[in-house]
Amino acid sequence: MQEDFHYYATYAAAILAGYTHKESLDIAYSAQFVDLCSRTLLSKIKAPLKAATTQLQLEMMDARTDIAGLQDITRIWASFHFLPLDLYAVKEKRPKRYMNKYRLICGPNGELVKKTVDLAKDKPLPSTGIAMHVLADTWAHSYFAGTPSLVINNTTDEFYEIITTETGSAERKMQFRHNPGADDILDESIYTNSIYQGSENSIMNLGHARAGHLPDYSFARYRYLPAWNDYKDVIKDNPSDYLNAFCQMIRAMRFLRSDLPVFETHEYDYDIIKPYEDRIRTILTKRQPIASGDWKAFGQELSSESIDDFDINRYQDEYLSAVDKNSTFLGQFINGSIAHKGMVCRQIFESGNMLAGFVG
Amino acid sequence: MDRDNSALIRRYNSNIRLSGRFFIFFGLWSVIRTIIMFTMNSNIKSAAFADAEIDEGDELLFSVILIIVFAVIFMFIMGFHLFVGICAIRYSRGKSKNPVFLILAAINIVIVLICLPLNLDTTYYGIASVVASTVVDLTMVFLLFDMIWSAIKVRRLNRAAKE
Repeated sequence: MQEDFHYYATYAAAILAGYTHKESLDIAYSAQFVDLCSRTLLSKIKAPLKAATTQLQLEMMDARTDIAGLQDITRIWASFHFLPLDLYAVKEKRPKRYMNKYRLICGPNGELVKKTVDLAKDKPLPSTGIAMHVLADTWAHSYFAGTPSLVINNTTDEFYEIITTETGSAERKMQFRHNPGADDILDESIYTNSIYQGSENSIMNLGHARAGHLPDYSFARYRYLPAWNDYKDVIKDNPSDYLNAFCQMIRAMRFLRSDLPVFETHEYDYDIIKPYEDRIRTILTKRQPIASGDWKAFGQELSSESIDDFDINRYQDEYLSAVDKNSTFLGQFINGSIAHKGMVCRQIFESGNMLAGFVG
Repeated sequence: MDRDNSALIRRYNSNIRLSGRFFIFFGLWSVIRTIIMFTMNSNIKSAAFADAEIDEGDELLFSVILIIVFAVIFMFIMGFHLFVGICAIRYSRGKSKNPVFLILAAINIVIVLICLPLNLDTTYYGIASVVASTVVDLTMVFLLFDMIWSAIKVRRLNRAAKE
């Protein structure tokens, strides 16, 4: 997902969950910050590098893909952007090496989502933001794994966008090109993706790189062939998934502010969004590269307050000058990210999977 | 057509496409192997010249004739492999329904199997070369079998779907 959902939509969900404007801003900031908290940024503010929640493209270009390097990459991406659906999934006639990667495939409503939300209970608001980012990404990044793997994350050129027509729906073949500098041409279904790399552990095969930016477009509905699905296609309905993510975030945040006794998966607060459902669906289905403007307007109407644009530098001076860094916003974010990463990596390790490394 | 059948058709078409690509590669390998045999192995060269009973002054002319003959043969071999391989790839993508490449593939299987015992002659080559060559030839036979089998399965599945 992009800033439109992680920042502005999360703000709107927080308001609907009952948080104040200030609290919602903190949660939204933290949710978006997960996409920006790289080792480069952490070293700039002299923060612990193990709190990194993402890797910049330049960092990934230098990343090693030996076993230690792969574990490092997996720890970050599987923890924050591709939370595994089922660490004990079963698939017949596959070796352990394949199954380790297969079990990292991301999807919503897994056991780890509940653990993620439970972990954020009674923690500072940045932890809530981290949990919301992770929860939202389980919907957008379904069917991809947060580890470099050709046999899991590769796709074929059989990508068809499902377009709504006057008579119903039709499929339009998508084209992919390898030009990261060019914008996607949405009207003609021309998108950018990573170049095919035959090496199993190439960085080009990390996450949804082979599908380009498609999972992050809320309007996109498409059918494609993931490498792990034995030649069967999957249909991805982003508008529906994003709506579920939004309603599930509301439910999770209601639990985190003690409005609900327990958070369970497969439960969504559709009733709360009822008065705004048409508006939300319009935003989600509008064919645009980023919906920040629409979500921001919606959020501001909900709270009757002005939403500050996201500023990556907002809390850095506070962190740098503080004596007690744990009491600062970034300090709380850092503690939350370390706790979350530790939880996820421990779960992966306890399932017998060494792809996230050894957790003592 | 249900999803399982669609998946099977995709799998078999993928097999045909892969076999087609490798068959083209095998054509190239056959040409390169023959060139290496004649240029690197002095025994074969000497035997060819001795069999032809060439006078000393006509060696150059004989060499040129040999090169021209082999060039024609190589073009035929590559052309054959390219034709079968490209037809297989087009068939797998649904761009062609002509199964003639399958007949040629079957003929190729028969020829390779017949010629296999002849390749086991170690007069001019070491045992390692003979084994390597045999393994490559058997792999090609397996690929062609797979290509034919996959094409039959695709046809049956499509027919069943239409019914």
